[in-house]
Amino acid sequence: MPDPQEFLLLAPEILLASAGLLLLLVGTIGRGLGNRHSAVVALASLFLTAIDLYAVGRSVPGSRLLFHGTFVIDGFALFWKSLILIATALTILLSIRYMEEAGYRAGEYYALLLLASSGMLLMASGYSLLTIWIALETMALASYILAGYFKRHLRSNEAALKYFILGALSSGILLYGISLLYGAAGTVQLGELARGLELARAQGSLLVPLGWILLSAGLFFKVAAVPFHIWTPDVYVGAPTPITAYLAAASKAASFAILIRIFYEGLGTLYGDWKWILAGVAAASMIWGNVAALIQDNVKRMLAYSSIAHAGYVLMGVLAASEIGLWSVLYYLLAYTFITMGAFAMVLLLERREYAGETCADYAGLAQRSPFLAAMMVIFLVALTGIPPTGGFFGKVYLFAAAVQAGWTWLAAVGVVTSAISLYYYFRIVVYMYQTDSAEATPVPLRAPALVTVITLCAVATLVLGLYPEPFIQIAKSGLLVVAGR
Amino acid sequence: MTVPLSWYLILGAVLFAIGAVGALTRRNGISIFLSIEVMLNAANLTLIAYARQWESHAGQVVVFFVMAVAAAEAAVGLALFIAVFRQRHTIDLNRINLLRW
Amino acid sequence: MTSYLPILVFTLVAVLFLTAALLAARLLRHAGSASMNLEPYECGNEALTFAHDHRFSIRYYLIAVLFVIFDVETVFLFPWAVLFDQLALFGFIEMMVFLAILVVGYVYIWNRGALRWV
Repeated sequence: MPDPQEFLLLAPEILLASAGLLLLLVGTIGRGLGNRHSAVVALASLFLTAIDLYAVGRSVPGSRLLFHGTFVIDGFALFWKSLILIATALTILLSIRYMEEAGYRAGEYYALLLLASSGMLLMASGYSLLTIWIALETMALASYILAGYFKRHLRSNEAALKYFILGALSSGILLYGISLLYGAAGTVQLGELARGLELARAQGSLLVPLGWILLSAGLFFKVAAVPFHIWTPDVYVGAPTPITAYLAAASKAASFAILIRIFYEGLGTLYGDWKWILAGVAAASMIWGNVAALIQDNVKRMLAYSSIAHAGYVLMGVLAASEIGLWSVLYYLLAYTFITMGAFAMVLLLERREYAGETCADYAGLAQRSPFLAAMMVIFLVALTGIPPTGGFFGKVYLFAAAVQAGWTWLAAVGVVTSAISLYYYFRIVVYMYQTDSAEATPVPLRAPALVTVITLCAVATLVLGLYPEPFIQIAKSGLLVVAGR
Repeated sequence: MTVPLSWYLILGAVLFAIGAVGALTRRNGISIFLSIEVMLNAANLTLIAYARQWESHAGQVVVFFVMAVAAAEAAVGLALFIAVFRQRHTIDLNRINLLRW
Repeated sequence: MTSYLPILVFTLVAVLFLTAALLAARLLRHAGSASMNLEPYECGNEALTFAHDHRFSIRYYLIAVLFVIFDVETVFLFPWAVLFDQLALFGFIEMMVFLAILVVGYVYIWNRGALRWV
C-alpha cells in the first residue's frame, strides 16, 4: 500500500484533472458557465496548481520515486511542469476572445485543455514506460478533440482527422516498441530498464535494437521531427489558432520531456547506438524544416515548418548528452515557449473570420497600421531566427556550443547554415510589414486586451531572456538529468 | 503440450506487420483505424507472452491499460469520423484534401 | 555494428515481402472489379436485403460508443475484485475514486442528452 504522502506529491496533477472534470460537469448544468467564467475558473485552477507545484518542489529537495518507482519528482520534472503550466495559462488567455467569436460551447474546451495539461504534467513525472504512455495518451486524446473543436469548420475537422490517424498510428508503434523492450528487459520501469537492456544487449538480443527504434519513432512523431513530421503543417494550419499555439508550445515541451527522460534514463546504456539515429533526425529536421518553410505563404504553415526545424535544434542539444547540452535544451524550450506563444498571438490578432489574415501579404504595411504590433512581431521573428538581444539567440548559441563540445561539429555547422536560411523567410514578413503598403489604411484595433497582454508579456520575456540570461540558466540548471550509461 | 513463447511472438509480429501495412495502404478512415487497433493488439499479445516468460505482472498490467486507452481512442476516433462525414459525406482520405499532406 | 546486421536483413525482407505482395496483388487482381468492392461484405457473403430497408437510428452509434467506453473500464474491476481481501480499505477507496471519475463522465453525457432516445 502506497504512502498517502505520495498522493500529496502528485496533488498538482490531481488538482488540475479534478478542475477539468468539474468544468465539464458544471458546463452541462443549465446554460453552463459561459466563455469568460469558464476561462477564469480554468486560470484560477492553473494558479492553484502552480502554488501546489511550488510546495511540492520545496518538499522534495533531490529526487524521489513514487508509487513503486512508476513516477518521479525531481528538478527535471518540476521544470517541465512549470513550463507546461505557463504555456497552458497563455493558451487560455489567447482563447477567450477567439471562443467568443467562434460561438462554440466553451465549457468543454477549457475542460479539455485542463485535462490535456494534467496529462502533460504526468508525462513530465512518468518514470515507467506504462505511466508515460498513459499520460501521453491522456494528452493526445484531448488534443485530437481540441484540434477538431470547431466541428463545422472543414479545415479544423480535417486537421483533427489527420492528427488522430497519424497520432494513433504513432502510439501503436510506440507501444509495440515498449512491448519488445519489456521482452528484452523484463520491466518497464526506466531505471531497471537501463540495466536490463544493457544485459540483454550484451547477449546480442535482437529485441533491444528493434524495440528502441520503434519506441523512438513514436517519440519523434510527438516532437514533430523529420521524417515523422508530416502531420505538423496540416494540423497547425487547420486547428483553431490557440490550439495550434498550445500544440507548438506545451505539447512539444511535454513530448521533449518524455523523449529526454526515456533516452537518458531508460535507454541511457544504449547511447552508443541511438546517437547516430538522433543525429540523423536532428540534421534532417533542421534542413527540411527550414527549406520547406521558405516556400510557405501561409504564416501558420510557415511557423509549423519552423517548429519542425526548432525540434531539430533541440534534438542536437539532447544528443550532446552533456550538462551544457541538457540545460541549453531546457533554456531553449523556455525561450521558445514565449516566442511561439507570442508569434501565434500575433496571427490570432490579425486573423479575421474564415481564416483571412493568415498569409504573408496580410502583414503588408502593418508598421503603419500599428507600429506597436509590428515591433512586437519583429521581436518574435528576430528571436526565432536566433539574433541577439533575444532569448532565441542565447538558446541557439548554447545548443551549438554543446554540440561542438560533444564532438558534433558537423551537426552544429548544419544548424548554423540552416539558421542563416531561416533568416530569409522570417524577414520576408518583416519586409512586408515595413516596406509594403497596406491595402487598407485603418489601424489594427487593439480590441482584445487579453491578446495584447499575452503579446506584450511574451515579447518582454523574450527580451529579458536575451538580456539577462543568467537567472534563467540557473533555473534550467535545476532540471538536469544524467545519462544512465555515461 | 504448451505453446512455445516464440509462436506468440511471431503471431504478434505478423499482426503488427498486417496492421502497419493496412494503416499505410488503406485510404478509408475506418479501415486505417481498424488496422491501428490490430497493431495495438499485437503489442498486447507480445506483452502478455513476455509477462508469462518473465513471470512478472507488469506486462499484464500494461495490457489492461492499453485496452482502456484503446476504447477511449475508438470513441474519439469514431466521433471525429462522424463529424467529418457530416461535413463532406466521405471519409476517404484521398478526398479529404483541403490541406496538403 | 554487426549486431545491427539482422535489422538490415529484416528491413530488406520486409521491403521485398511488401513489394512482392503488392505486385502479386496487382497482377492477380480482377480488372474492373470496383463494383464488387462496394458490396456490403467484401469477403463474398451475399447481402440478404438492402440496408436501406432496415434503417436504424444514428443515435444507436452514440449509445454503442458510450457503452464500449464504460464496458471496457470494467477490466479494472476484475483484478480488484480478485484481490479485494489484500487491497482492503485502501483498495476500496481507490476503486471508489475510479468509479467516481466514471460517474462524472456518465453525468456529463446524461446532462448533455446523449442518452435521450429521439
